Amino acid sequence: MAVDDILEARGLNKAYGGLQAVRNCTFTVERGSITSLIGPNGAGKTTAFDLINGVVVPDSGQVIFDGVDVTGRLPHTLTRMGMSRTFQITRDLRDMTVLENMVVSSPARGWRTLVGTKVQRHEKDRAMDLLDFVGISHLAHTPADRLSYGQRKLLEFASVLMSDPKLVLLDEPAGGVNPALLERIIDRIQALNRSGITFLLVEHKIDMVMQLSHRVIVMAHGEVLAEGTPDEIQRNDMVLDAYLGKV
Amino acid sequence: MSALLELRDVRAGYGKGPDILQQVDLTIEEGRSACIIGPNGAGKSTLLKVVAGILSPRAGEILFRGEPVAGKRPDQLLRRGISYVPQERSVFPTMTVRENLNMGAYSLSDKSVVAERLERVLDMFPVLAERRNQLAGTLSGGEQQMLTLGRALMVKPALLMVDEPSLGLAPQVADLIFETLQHLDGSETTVLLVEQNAHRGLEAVQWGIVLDLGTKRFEGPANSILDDPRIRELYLGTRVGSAPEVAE
Repeated sequence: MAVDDILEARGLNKAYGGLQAVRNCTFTVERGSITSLIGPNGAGKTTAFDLINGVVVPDSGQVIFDGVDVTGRLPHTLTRMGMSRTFQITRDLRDMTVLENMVVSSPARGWRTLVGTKVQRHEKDRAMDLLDFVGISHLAHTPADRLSYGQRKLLEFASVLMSDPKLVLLDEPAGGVNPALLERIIDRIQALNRSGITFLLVEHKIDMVMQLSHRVIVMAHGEVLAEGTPDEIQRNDMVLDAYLGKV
Repeated sequence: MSALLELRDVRAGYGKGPDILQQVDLTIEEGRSACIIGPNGAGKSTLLKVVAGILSPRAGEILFRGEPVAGKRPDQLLRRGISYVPQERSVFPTMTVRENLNMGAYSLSDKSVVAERLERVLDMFPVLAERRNQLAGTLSGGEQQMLTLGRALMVKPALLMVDEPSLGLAPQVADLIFETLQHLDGSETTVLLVEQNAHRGLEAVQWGIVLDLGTKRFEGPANSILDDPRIRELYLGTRVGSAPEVAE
């Protein structure tokens, strides 16, 4: 692993039943970059995310995060180490307010103190700052189930920032959001990136990927098919063929 | 050729969410099978759901054989000749293959017609004929896909819409499914296919339709549409030129 890589996937393998979802998957993410993982449906992108952030343990291979082998470590451990992740399907706690959702995402809270303890002043301030940053602080005291789909995406985006992550994994941040909101999400990702946070995205909105990313990793059939700058990927005929199903 | 299905300015979406289809204009000619391709999130599956009556359009007109059908229920549309095979392969697992096929003909009352249709479908799918008395839940994924196709064909639909038939199937099995669809060409059934695997899907039909971000971008003969330079931009994005630098 080069000095400036924050993440390395090294020969990851994962099979579900007879299906090899991820096969000998190796790539690196440069510290300070916005890197995107793309590929046709079923390429193994979300499984790769699951393996990196400890939701699923690989059959073989390693995940190196910030110089440490973190293979098999649980997601909350990784969160405390500085890696956080959003999900394709937003998973907020709907009976709680937006602010409460933010606070339970704080890494200082173990599950014992997750609920039922008083919200600390600094937690609240931090949460309000982040809600303001994504533009939904006016909804802080609204129950999460009253939010629109796009607002829930923003809530989840804000909540992963509660742990002051070094690396944020975003699984389809633009899925199902309207163009105005998409602009805001892109803008916020870029602002955070300038402040030093590294991003790894899985995203299907290809124009967004190509505009935003420093590097693009293409997966097909569980393997890394190509890697490069957006321009290199756009000129790569193998990548186009993979998308069109010509293999 | 005459228009079998026409969509005019159709808009549709789910719940309070944004429009997935925005002003779709589309004509499916009778006897000219077609495949809709396009990147993820283009609205391909939503389009089929709207035509099948699973989802009501928010605006626009849908004409089937010249008659307005927007907002009609799936069973009403089935009686008019629109059959739909959704992506989720749903057979009745504890019923036999034959019972499953007969369920596809629930809208028909004449038993002799149902029997004749059953024979026809079993002729088309020899695997299903072999297994006609077997419980559908014991079939392989590919066989279940054939069963859902066979069940949809029991009504001899004028329009057969199939959503991603190759999803999750081994390549050889997918080939069989596409061959079957191809054989429907020239029959009374016009096929409208949605397929992620553009190459495969287009091989099985005569006409290609490219959908992106909820609108039709362009269309053309199935065998040449992938040569269009716009395809690369659609799947790999608007050209960006050189990359931005990683901040230090």
